[in-house]
Amino acid sequence: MSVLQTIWLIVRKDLTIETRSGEIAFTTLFFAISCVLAFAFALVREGKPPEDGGAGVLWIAIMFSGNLALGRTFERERQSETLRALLLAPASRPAIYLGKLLGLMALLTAAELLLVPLVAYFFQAPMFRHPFWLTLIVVAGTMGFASVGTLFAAMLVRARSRDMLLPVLLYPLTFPVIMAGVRGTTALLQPEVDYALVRFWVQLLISFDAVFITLALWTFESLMTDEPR
Amino acid sequence: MPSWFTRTAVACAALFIAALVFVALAPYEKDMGLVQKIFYFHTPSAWMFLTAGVVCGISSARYLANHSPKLDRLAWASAELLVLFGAIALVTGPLWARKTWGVWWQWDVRLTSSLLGWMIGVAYLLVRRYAGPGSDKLAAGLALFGMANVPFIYISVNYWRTIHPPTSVVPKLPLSFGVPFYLSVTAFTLLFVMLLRLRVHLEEQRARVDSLYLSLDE
Amino acid sequence: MAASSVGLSAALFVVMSIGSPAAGAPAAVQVLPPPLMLPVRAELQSQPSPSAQKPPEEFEAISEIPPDERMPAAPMVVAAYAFVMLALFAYLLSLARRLGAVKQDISRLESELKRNGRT
Repeated sequence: MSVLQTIWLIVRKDLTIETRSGEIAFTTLFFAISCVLAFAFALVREGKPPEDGGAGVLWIAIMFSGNLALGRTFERERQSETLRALLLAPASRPAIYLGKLLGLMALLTAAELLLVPLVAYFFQAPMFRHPFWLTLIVVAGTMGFASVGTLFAAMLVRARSRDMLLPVLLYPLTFPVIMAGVRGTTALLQPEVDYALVRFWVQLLISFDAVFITLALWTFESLMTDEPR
Repeated sequence: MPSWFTRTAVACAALFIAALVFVALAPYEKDMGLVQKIFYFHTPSAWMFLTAGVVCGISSARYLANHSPKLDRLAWASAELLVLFGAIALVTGPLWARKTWGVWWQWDVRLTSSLLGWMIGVAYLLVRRYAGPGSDKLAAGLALFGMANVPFIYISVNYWRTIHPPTSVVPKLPLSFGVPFYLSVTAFTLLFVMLLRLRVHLEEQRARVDSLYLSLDE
Repeated sequence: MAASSVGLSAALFVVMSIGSPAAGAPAAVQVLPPPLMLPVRAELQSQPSPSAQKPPEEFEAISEIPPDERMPAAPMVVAAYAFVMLALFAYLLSLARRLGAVKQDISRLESELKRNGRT
């Protein structure tokens, strides 16, 4: 079975489960909304949000929602023992990784479709002025976060204290991605956009993505060969 | 403590005392005055921090490839040293900065990525301690990704404008600064190697305990 | 494997093209207000923050400290060196303690093994 076929099968499986049960989708979307609301309550004083606050809030919300979604996705796999089934199936490991990654990206993108307008409204951030660049930054940054997250969430499935350890592992590693995302988004939200600066951060994000995905593909095999418990 | 420890510890202590003497005798720097003397311990600590990161990353990568317990012990030991020397660099740096730059901290690239590298080391130790079975592989994966951070820390200063001195400072050190500095570097290197060997020795003894427990059960 | 190598080379190419100081990049450091710049205390305001904007390219030596540089630096230097010594000492102590505990375990287990071996 070709790699692309495997990837497509895995993505389809996850999306089917999601559309039928909506377990992770609804909870993640609701969490994303409450996250932004919490920031809005905390930071917006008398209708005035902190200057340039929108970018930071957006990316923190993406980070938290992503963390939740990751945990839940693999918890479900663990409970149904489907991860063992996946690993026993004649599917190449990198294909499994890429399939889970794309599924997670779909979920996070749905959350971001909700997050961006919310942040734009509450934090008075002109998010829709440059939609092409914004989409590029958000997708590149989310991909970077998701690529590391998928790998570590898959590895943590069999570990103790997995709920605590996922953020412990994830946040320091993805901080450069989040930082680049925040800086790039902030640059884009300025009244006078410096496109060279935005391009710089986008380039950095894309190179992070490439490095992380390559590293993850190399190590997924050896990290997942433990005895399933 | 193993047999080689006393000799090495004495040599190390002697080197440190010599370094301190030369540091005290070294001239003051024109712009920074007395506080620049923190440089003689801050920079070697930072170098040991980065070295520990490289050792941890490489041994973790090799451990993932061939699963040798020796490599795993080396990775864990170097992660502990990364946290130790990183803490030293991250504390002495702001003490220097408070006087020279007027602030304790700045979110520029070098400081931020150094702090991150250090936090990844702490995360590594947390994983080894709390993740249970399979934590060795998990931590190795973490170290691998963390190591990608290390080149950024070192070269970042040359590519982004920052208030942290660039790496060109060290090669251009005049002799009066160079002697105490390289003496310090030697002292820190010997200390690093000694602590690394000691920590690996501790892991080897722990492995022995495990095998003794196993043979007791038989 | 080959595909991922291509990916890595692409990444390196992108990184190289970012390479030299992008004109806009340094501005990024100042775009967000640095959240941890604590206000300088009044008594330390006596001398201006020397060459705070441009880092020194080399160290230059002088033989005597100018008078206005003398006092405030000393606590920092002392604290720095003290911290280094304390941290290293604390770590050595922790290692020694852990080694001692393990050695105790080993001797206990070995004597138990010898006893069981006899019965």
